[in-house]
Amino acid sequence: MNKYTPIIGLETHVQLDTKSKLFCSCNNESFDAAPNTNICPICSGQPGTLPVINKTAILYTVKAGIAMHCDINKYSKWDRKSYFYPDLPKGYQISQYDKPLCIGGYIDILLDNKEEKRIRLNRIHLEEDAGKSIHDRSIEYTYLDYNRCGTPLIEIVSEPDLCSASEADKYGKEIRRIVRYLGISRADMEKGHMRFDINVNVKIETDNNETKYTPIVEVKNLNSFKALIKAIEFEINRQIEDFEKTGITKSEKNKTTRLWNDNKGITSQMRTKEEASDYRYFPDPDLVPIILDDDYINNVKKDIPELPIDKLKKYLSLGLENNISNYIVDNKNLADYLDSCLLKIGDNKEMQKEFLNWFGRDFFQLLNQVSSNDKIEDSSVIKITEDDFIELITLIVNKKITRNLAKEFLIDMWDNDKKLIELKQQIPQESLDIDQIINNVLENNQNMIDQYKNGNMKVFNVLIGLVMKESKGLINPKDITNKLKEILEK
Amino acid sequence: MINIEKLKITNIHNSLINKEYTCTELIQSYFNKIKKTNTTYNVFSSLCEEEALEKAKNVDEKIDRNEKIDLLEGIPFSVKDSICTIDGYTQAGSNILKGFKSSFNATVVEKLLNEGAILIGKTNCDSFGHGSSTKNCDYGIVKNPYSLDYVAGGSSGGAAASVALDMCTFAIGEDTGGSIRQPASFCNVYGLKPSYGRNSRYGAISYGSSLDTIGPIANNVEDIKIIEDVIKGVDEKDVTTIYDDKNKTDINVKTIGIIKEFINDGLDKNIKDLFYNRLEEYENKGFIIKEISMPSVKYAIASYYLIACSETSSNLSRFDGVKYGIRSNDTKLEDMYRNTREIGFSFETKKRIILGTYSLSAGYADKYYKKACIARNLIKTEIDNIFNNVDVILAPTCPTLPFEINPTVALDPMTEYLADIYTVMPSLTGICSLNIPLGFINNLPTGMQIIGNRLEEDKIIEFAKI
Repeated sequence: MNKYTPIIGLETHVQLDTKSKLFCSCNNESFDAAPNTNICPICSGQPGTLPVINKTAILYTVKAGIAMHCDINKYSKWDRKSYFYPDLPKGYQISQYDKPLCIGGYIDILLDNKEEKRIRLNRIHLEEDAGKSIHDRSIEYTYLDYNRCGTPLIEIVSEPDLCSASEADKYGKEIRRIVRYLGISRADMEKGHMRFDINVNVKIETDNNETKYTPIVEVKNLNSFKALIKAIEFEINRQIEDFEKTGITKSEKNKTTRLWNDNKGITSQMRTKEEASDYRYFPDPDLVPIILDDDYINNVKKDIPELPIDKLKKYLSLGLENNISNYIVDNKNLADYLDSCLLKIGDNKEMQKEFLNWFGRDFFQLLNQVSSNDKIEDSSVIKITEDDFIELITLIVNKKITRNLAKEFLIDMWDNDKKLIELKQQIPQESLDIDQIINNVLENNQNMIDQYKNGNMKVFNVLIGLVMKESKGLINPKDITNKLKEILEK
Repeated sequence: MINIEKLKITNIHNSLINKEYTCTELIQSYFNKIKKTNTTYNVFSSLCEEEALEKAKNVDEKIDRNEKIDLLEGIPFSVKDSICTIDGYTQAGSNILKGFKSSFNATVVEKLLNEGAILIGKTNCDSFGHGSSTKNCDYGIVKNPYSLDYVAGGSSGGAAASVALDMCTFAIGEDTGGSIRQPASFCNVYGLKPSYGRNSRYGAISYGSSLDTIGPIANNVEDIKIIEDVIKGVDEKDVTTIYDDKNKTDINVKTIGIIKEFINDGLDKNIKDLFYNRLEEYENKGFIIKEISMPSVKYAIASYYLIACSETSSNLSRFDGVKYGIRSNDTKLEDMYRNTREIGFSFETKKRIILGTYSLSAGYADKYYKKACIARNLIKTEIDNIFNNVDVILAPTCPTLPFEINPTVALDPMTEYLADIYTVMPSLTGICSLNIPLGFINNLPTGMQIIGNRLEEDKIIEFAKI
């Protein structure tokens, strides 16, 4: 049997969330804007205009580069990439060719088996986005919307280190997490903030120890994680089938570009004419090179927050479940909340354990009521202040409050915006005397003590139940167990 | 009617404040001249008479109220068709922009308007600056003010002629490889190609972005100085503009350099004589004349045309019929692109786009575009060394007299390109150069360049006054 290993590289385009566009002062947010209302002579390519660089876009790209472990080029420059398309107003895109801002680097992903895998990067460069061609409004015409023209875009180019659709999915999601953590993009797939181009082929190891490769295929413009996964899976299967049928292997000339059809779930060959491209890159004479010094780069480094993968590993090591840890990491507001609480709790292991139990279980149940989607848009959905949460845990640990009551408080705080200081009034004033209750129960059930001492261990649980009943559930069963054992073993 | 012949800015200013004539009379006189001569010489492509007269009225009211007016207030000027202005059309001498109106003023125009200067119209030029005769202007050839059988030069032919024919007080032109200096020499006027980056390019429709400069054309060097001082300076809209930190350097000239390689068989003998006569005058005045060698200058023409065409092939990609200008009736995208550009661009423009596209193509860029850039750097290094030894360089502006409009023997394209030999060197190296009149041969004017180092405009302007 042949052994097949897919080889996948990704080009990930991420729109940067700067206030203005890359080369003009137009508002960079056009989601709700009517077509062609968010344009100016510069971004619509009017004669006589010149680009002026947005420094924040450079900062954001350097941030991405540092967070993704790239080398930052102290000298980088702008190049024109030429092609004709109606939604490209200048007939060229201002991009970076041989001197991008960031070189090399890597992104670590956590596989399903909890193993870490390093995906090497080739480069990250900064470029301008094109406009949108709208083909489905008319049979006769194509409509053009230039609002998106000039939106800053980083292109993160990976090495072909990915081996499955699932790895590509994890890699893409890791990028999404990182750029959100850095605050450089909202990375909403639905709003087109992130897009993928994939390069796929398959390594074949035959029974007689030959290694062959299928021709490389590029699939452009995948706009969702679903499309990313499906396109990769489709391509892998198609290429293996194709190889088995034709035996054609990779050559320098047979790299092709295919288009993803989301409705049909297939890729299809572009006309060769559409494919033939010579972008005629050359340095843009309207712009000056970007020169960065060590101070600049070091200052950016200081601003890089803890990376999502490191947070994830931290949460897992604290014993939080995998899916919960991932959910927290995906939602920076929540991760910030958790980290802040953990910091306030400090080294107290008992507090930490109790807190994490409550956080991972009860708190999450409450959270799920308000946020069924994968993202918590703003921190106001977290209704319980860090301090109230920690104080509640302190009360539990110090046995000032039963878990049942604590849970009632938690719900009350969440649902009714109650503060712990008000709720504390409801804690029963007379403290429960655990010894007293146990003694009462034992006095009334001398026969069970005898049975226990004769080796009938089952009655132990019955006794626990009776004490629980007597204490109206306000005492921790573990405490009861310990106390009972202590008395009975005496 | 006012005598507007060779009027100087300071004289007009004094006449206006002394109420010798009104600004309205002044502007009206220039328009009368335009109406009398424009059909013959084809200088203007569009006029802004109404707007100009309205502004003149405002100046007059100010003067009537005894308010102070600025030096340029009420002074009429023309702007090359390839530079954006809100008033008038901006067609870059090309069919593809027929009827195009810009939504903004070029930075230099805005600066002049802010000083109160009055825009009276747009002047004809070779389409997108592609040419040195205005034969490549889709709106007709500009005729030489001194003889109708000859061209006014190009590409800023209309600009130079507008000044020479007293159709305005000064003109704003654009120079990529000689497009201000050569027509200035053909029209017997002064024209400054500033150092690259000294004046903002914002609003100049790009020909070769790394070479394009905007500069003034006037009847005298004093006016050149006044205008240049207004339009120079860093512009936040053009990141290639540079800070003029050489203002305080010594503007005295002691040594004059002559580039040996420029004085060859290609130079018209009569022009050569005039040039050497002028050198003798300088020598008699005590200047030291040094012959210098610039071996790399033999690469200048090839390097210039490769770089300029490469850049223009990219700069002109935006003229695709989609957003502005003319569009063919085709219903298929590729046909629309092809035919719009086929009808819209002049032959010369198409030639330069094809040349530039070829030069930038994969597999050829190393051989052409990149090699041209290497040659350019070599020329820059040599010019830096030369300016260590001389204060200014003098050179003819054009090796020949103005070209005939209908020559008995047609010029081959290479000869026309080679005629740019003296002007492209300062363009490639980004230094400044001023054309001053040199004299007449057979009643046709010719000019000479005073070439200065980067940002040494003040030095060459002072020298021109000698």
